[in-house]
Formats: sequence, C-alpha cells, structure tokens
Amino acid sequence: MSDELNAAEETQVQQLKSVARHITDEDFQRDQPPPGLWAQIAAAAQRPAASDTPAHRGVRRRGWIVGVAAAVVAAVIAGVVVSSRHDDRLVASAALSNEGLSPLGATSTGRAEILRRGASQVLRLDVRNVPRQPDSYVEVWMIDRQVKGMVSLGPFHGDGDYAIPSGIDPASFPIVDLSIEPADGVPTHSGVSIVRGVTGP
Amino acid sequence: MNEAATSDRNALEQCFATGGEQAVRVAYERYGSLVYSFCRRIVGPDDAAEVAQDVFVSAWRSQPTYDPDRGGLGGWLIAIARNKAIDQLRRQGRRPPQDASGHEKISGGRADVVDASAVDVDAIADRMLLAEALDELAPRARRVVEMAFMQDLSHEQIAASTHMPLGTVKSDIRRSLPVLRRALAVRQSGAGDE
Repeated sequence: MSDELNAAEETQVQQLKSVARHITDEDFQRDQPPPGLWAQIAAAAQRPAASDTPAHRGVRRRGWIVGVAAAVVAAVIAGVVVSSRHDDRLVASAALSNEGLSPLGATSTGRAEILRRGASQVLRLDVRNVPRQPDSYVEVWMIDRQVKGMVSLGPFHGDGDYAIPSGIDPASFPIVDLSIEPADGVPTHSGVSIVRGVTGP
Repeated sequence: MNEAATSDRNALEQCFATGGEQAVRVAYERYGSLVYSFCRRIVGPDDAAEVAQDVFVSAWRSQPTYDPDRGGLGGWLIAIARNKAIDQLRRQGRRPPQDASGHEKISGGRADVVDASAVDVDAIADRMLLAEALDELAPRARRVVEMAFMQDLSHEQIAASTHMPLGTVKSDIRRSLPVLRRALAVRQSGAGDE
C-alpha cells in the first residue's frame, strides 16, 4: 500500500491539525475519579430511572414547577402501601383540594395524614375521584414550602398508607401533592397536579 | 502503532455494545479518568463527580445505542459528558469556561452561528480526545504525528530531524490517521446525545 495520502486523508490531516495545534499539557492531564464513584454509579444505574439524583432531574416539563425544577431535591422511592395499625399516632393532616390545579382533577378531593408508626412514618391518603388518563399514572409527592425540594412516594395505588423514606422529615415537606405523570420515563413532576394540601398539626 | 492498546480498545468497544454491567465497569476503568477530568474542567471540582456519575449511568442505560462502527467509546462517553456538563452549567446559571486556545471547529461548523460557550466545551472535548488517542500510539508514531500535527512540520522535515526514512514517516502518519479520526468521530457526529 502506498504511503502517500489520498485527498480524503489529506483533509483528515488538516482537520486533525486544527485540533492538535492547540493541544496543551492540560489536555493530557487526568484526574482520578474519587474513590467510591463506581459504587455510586452501579447503585444509581440499577435503581429505576426515576431515582436519579436531584441535580439530574430534567427541566423540560412546564407548569407550576417551572423555574424550580433545577433545584429539585428528590428521592423517588417506590410507593409502598402499608397496612394500617392501631398504634399509629397522628402527626399532621391536611385536606386535599383541586383549587387552582389542573381541571383534570376538578372533582378530586381527599385527605392526607402523616402518621408515626414506631420508628417510621407513613402518609395515609384517602382521595376521591382520582382521574385516570391513558398512558399515564398518578404519583404521590411530598414537597417543601419553597416548592424546590420534593420527595416522590411513588405511584398512587389507591387509598392507604404510603411509606415515607427514613431520613425525610414530613415537617420539611409539608405539601402533599398528587400529579398525573405521563408514562415517559421522565422523573420530574409533570406540573399537572390534581389535588394538593399543606399538612399541619 | 501500539497494537496491544488498540486491540484492547477494540475488544472493549465490541464488548460494551453487547451490554452488561461488567462491560460498563471495564469502560469505567478505561475511561473513568478521562470523563472525570473532562467534567472537572467544564463544571469544576465540586460538581465533577456528580456529572461523571450521571454520564456513566446514562451510558449504562444506553449501552445498546453505542455503535462501534461510528467511532470510539471514549468519544461516545465524552459526547454524553459534554451534554451533561452543559446541562449542569445551565441549571446553575453558569457559563462554561472560556477556552483561550482559538480552536477551530474540526467539523467545519461556523463558529459565528454556534453558541460560543458550547464551542469552548467542544474544543476542550476534541483536544482531550485527541490527546487520549495520541497516548494510544506507539512512541515512534506518536513522535512523528506530534511533529506533523502539532509542530506542523513537513514529512521531509520530520525525516531529516529524526533520521528516519521518509517512507517510514509517511507510513506512521497514515497508519495513525484512523486511530485519531476514530477518537473524535462520535462526538463530532453529534451522536451520544440522549
């Protein structure tokens, strides 16, 4: 094979030169990733896509959450309906209404209660007229007063108790919100809320 | 050419495309420092690990979309990292670092219609990928390529300077071209975008 470059190769050379002539020592320098990063990657990759860390959550959706999605602090935990027990202690409660929210939930109302159960806490929901939309589901959220941080308790499975992740202080996330989420794999709040209420003592 | 390094890279790229945690792990061991270093340069040390994590999680989930025929795995990962890093900066209302190199866009895009900040990020990405590819070359070929591409010496000047036959100089450059082009191919094609 000839060692002479053909026209296409000459073009490649010129293109590569345009990059190469600006290379500096810094371009060769490599920093080692911090220890434990692989473990974090493996753990994150094997969780559902919705459990990505907060800063990664998308901003493409619009609605009431526009402008704050970037700062969302969220840990999405698959919703777990927990059976009721007699030793539950009521911590806070709220009426849930559709006022100012999506007309899709125009007739939706309900009640939310924060219950302490031993060392854990649950959100008890009793919601009426939950709309069902094709290719979508209803998701349960707890949101802070600044509407910047939020915790997903997972899909709404019906009335019952939803486990609040340990480490989450319900007082810091007093807004209980149910939203309609398209089944598109996007973990952020859709902005389509059907009921909401602010829990308090 | 460093045949062993190239062979290892080719095997990894073929393996990666077939999926599996082990393939991602090997890719991380091979390209983790490249991705992390790139992220560190673009978003800074405080956010670099978080963005790098996001890159490999995305890569893990997008394994089947990587096509070794379109270019190198390093370029594919940096294409993802480029987008993740810019997203991170935008979320924080920050601008990418200014790149003072005067880099010319290799793909021929008009810089005046491209977001200048994105061009800076692209320039850093291209240079780091090219540096990575240069590291893959055998010492002699790398020396010749650096003299030709970075110092802009003619083949004859290189031959005279190195006391190598002119044909060897040309051969080294010609055989290095695919390695260098492949390193940049995916990122410059815009692939790796999610």
